[in-house]
Amino acid sequence: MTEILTVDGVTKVYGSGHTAVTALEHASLSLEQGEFVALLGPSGSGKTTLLSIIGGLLAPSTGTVSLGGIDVGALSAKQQTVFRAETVGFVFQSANLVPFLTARENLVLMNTLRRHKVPAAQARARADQLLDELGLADRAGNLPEQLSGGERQRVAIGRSLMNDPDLVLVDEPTAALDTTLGRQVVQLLAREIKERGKTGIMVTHDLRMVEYTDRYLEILDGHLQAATA
Amino acid sequence: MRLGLAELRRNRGRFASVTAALALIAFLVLILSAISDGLYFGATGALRSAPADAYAFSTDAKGSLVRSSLPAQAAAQLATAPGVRQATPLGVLLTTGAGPRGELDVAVLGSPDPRGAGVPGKLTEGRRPSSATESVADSVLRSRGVRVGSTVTVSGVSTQVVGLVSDASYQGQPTLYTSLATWREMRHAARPETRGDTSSVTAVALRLDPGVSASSVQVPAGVSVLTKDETINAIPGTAQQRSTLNAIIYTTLLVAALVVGLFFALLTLERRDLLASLKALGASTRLLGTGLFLQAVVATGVGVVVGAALARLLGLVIPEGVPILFRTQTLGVVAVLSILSGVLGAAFSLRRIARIDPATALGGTLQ
Repeated sequence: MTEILTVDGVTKVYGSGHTAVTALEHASLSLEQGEFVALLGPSGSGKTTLLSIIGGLLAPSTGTVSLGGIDVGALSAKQQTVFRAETVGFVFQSANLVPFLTARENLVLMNTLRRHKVPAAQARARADQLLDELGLADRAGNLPEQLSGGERQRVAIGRSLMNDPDLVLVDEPTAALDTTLGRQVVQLLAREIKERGKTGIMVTHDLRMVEYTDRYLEILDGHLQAATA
Repeated sequence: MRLGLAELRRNRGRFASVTAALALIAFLVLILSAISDGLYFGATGALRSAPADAYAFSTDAKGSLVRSSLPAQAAAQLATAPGVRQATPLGVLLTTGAGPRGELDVAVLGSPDPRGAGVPGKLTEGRRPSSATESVADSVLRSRGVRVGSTVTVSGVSTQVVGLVSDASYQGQPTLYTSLATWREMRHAARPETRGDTSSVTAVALRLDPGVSASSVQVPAGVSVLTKDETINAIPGTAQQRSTLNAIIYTTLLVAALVVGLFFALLTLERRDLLASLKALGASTRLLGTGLFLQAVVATGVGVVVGAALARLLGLVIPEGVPILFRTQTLGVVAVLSILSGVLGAAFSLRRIARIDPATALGGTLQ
């Protein structure tokens, strides 16, 4: 197995002087291609900060993040934007779909954000295939408001995979769903990541979701502790 | 797929409100512009349409055709001054006459030469006068029943209209171009106090040789020469009217910018979470900003089209005599300024979009 993600000694400090808050302290981890890992921890533990740094949304105060050979911490703001569009897939707490675009268009939109776009017909075909795998073939033409919460989150999963990313970052995907629906969504997510040989990190505070992942990491007060499921 | 245009198409109802507001503003601006143009053109037509480059007045008249009076001798001197190609003496009389359908206001403009510098070069109908009792009239007088062949009488002095010209009103009164002799007769009849004066004229219209400026013409004492533009601006109230109406128009356009600005500021505020997650997904501020401007341009553009249609409809029912003039050029300027106002308004939200931190898309508020 090849190592795809390396986080080495990452610290994140917000503010400075008296008001400085250390959100993350000397966190290190590495992920191999195809791994799906859960990141567990209570709110305020630093898990969102770690996810943001890995995803190129925040720059670390010290330490390095390397994803597929790219030094994420060294990217400029513009490069970060391109990096996120092409290399990372995101699934947010609430699906955050574009409300005036259909499910299919929400997926196809991702292609327009890339620097190297695939032809429109090809993007459409890929969107339809993803929606089909997620059990949404007959909902492709629906607007988000016509979809249930679970369906919306499934569209968001499709969206995160649309640009064939190296890494999928998932932020509390079940926060807006009830337990049964949450399980279904995570199960589907795990299956998609596995079948496509993708690597994924899922932030959650729900221990029951860990069974769908290869292993889990715990984070507490900014300290990352590895644990094996 | 353009995000901004997709939103316009799918959320038409939401943009309808701002477009309607912009349509009403464009309507207001266009009506104000049409009034401004109508007043301006009605006041200045006789001067603008004439081929003269400059006008000579008595200095104490301060550029007012109504107050000016020049002795015949001064007019003759001007004709031979270096740099002057053609000098046409003019007699001006703002008065009331009678036409086929009764009373009408006219500006009588007498000149000895029907092809002179003070008379519009192009007829829209009929021919030029061939005798001293014939005249050419502003085609506006058609609404009062005046046609080629009609007789117009001023204080008992008659003239036969043999041709029509367009855009030839002076101070809101349609012009009647007569011979100098007819003008003098009419003047004597309408203003008995002038009967002793049998030789003076009001002003002299000048055509200058190429490269000669109005100020360089050598003039007799007590005579000043103003360029055509200066003469137009010296018409009482014209410049003031125009600047007042323009001030109202520009203020209204500023309101348009504010309306667009507020609309997009609210939209951006409401879309904050969505914009943050789009940025997290890799949408650049540039892409989102382009969408914003596209929306502003389309909303303002549609507003202008609707507003122009409304203004034209109102133009159809406005009674004759109201000085209102719709010009394509003005419509173009208003359209461009409106769209600029829209873009300016939208620009305020650009900063807001740029400042949205994509990192806020993670974590959220749900726990």
